[in-house]
Amino acid sequence: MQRAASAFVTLFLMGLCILLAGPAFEMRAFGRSGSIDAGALPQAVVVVVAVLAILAFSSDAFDHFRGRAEGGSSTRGMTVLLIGGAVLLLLAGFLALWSRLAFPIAAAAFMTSTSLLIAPPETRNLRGYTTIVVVSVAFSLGVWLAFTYLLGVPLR
Amino acid sequence: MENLGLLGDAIFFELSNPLILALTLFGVVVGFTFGATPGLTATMGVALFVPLTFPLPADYAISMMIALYCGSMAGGAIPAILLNIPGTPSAVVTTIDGYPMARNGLAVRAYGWALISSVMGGLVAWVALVTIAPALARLALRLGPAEYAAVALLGMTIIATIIPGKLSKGLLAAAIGVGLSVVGLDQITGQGRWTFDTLALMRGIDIMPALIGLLVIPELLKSIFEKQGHASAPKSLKGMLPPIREWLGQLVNTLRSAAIGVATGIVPALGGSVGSLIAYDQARRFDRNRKQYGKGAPGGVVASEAANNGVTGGALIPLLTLGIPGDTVTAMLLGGLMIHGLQPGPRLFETSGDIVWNIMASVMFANLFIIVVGLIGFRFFVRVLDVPRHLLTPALFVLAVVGTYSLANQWFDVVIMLGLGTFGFAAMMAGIPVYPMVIGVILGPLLESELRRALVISGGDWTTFLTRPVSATILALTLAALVLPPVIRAIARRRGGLVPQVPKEYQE
Repeated sequence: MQRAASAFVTLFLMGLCILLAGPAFEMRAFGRSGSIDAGALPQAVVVVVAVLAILAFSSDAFDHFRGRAEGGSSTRGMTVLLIGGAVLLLLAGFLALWSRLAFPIAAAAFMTSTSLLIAPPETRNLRGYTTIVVVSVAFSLGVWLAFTYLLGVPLR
Repeated sequence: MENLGLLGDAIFFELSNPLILALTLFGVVVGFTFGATPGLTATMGVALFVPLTFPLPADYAISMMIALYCGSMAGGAIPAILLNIPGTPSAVVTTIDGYPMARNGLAVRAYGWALISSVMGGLVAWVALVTIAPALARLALRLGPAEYAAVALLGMTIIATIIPGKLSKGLLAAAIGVGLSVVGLDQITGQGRWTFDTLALMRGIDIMPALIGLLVIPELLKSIFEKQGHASAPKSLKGMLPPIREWLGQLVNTLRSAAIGVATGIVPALGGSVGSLIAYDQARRFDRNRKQYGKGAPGGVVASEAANNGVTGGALIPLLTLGIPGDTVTAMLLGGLMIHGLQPGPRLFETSGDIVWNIMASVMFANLFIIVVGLIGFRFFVRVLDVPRHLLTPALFVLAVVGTYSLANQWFDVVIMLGLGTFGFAAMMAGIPVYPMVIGVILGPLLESELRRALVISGGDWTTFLTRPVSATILALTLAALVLPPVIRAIARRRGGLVPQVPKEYQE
């Protein structure tokens, strides 16, 4: 699982480096007096990140082939990835919903769906579901009231 | 002597100001709650409570956040003793003797030892903070741009190389962090860097959304998979505090462990777990009952708790004097300081001396409150362990989102936070540490601006970094930080010696 994640991160970083290299190398890196200019750090970052990303992935791959890869069940890794990924998607959904609906509604929907996703089996009954909905609605309303009226941060 | 007067004024100010004391007390209670709940960390606590401090003056706000930090360190001992699950990563060493004590029917006494040594450790750290920080700040004022650039590089290198066998990943993370800090308008020329002509990116990536995204979101996702604890509070709290004679027997252990904690706190990224581990090892070495260690020796609990609370004061020293956070919580505190208009670094004592002294005085009050809160609130904090994880975690996600939005009422900040949270999660899965990224974001601008200033002053002569003695020494230390850890580990492995275990918190 770690190797797959490492490959994904490396590919992502390489893509990002390719995307950012153009604008970085368009900027001037050195001034006339030998001082560095606005482009120096972006150029250095692009090169260093690209080199180190490949190095880090190679090191993981090398460890894997030498049988020194870090232990840990791949089933657990997959569970973490699936549930973690699903929660991140729900978070993105929460933001999308919040841009269209009032905060308490969007937050309550996010909390309810996330709680349902991660609830342990023993709480999956009518009482458990009712608790989830009640807590989600009460908490969302509480946060909205606290931020809007106590802290002066208007949450629409 | 002047410092003593300033400290006295700050203590008197706090004593005559019930609001700041109440906020410090509140911070300790919240910190205990976060510390006592496995999976929740002080970093999360500070991040989620930053928005609550907006209406407050800077010293009040920072005092509350620091109290939260101190409280969480002490609270971490509760599940460590009762459930064998450390509430905070730094309480992991407390489990070694705390849990066996609990199994021998001495849970309350173990907690009493943890509480007293936490307070003592915190107070020793406070003494170190008020004596070392002002002197270091005065010294740091003499540093020029070349030295500052070298210090920033050293800070990043130490943190990037702290994870054994993952040098490339640590350095990669630091470089990504520096890259994030580059986005926006160039400070000197005003040229847009990686802005793609969008207004939102021209503002750059603010520190707090980046910190919440990188530190809080992956931690919250990880907490979903933490074990849910169920503990019942002991029926009687009789005999919680050890008799004076027994306590005096542990005094040397307490002071030594606290000093170790302070020293490890000062070095960026070492953190509470390393401090506790070293202190525990030393306590066992010097204790006549060393065979009892691991089976329920009070000395083990004392060493661990005194050290991890000693770390709090130690970590504040580089933060307040150099602007370099000692750990993830102080990184978050740095964000909090900046939100309240304070720029941590050597000039902080000059520009906002009264605020800094008030903050340092509140560290003392926070540590004194720990004993009160710990004694009165024990039963409550045990019940916190029963709060269902599936209800708590989504609520904290909502607070993270709302907290980020409320920083500047900007949607873009929330998008950045979520994007970096997703990347932080992927990096965690890939074994890339997130903390060096955070340090890169924080120290990147300092490194660049000081590097440019140093080169302008020297007329573009790069040897200025090597010809100035302090800068050359710091660069030599940077090189040593890069080269020595793998060499030491290789030698230790060859000799068959124990290679120090790096805390799990930095092995995301």
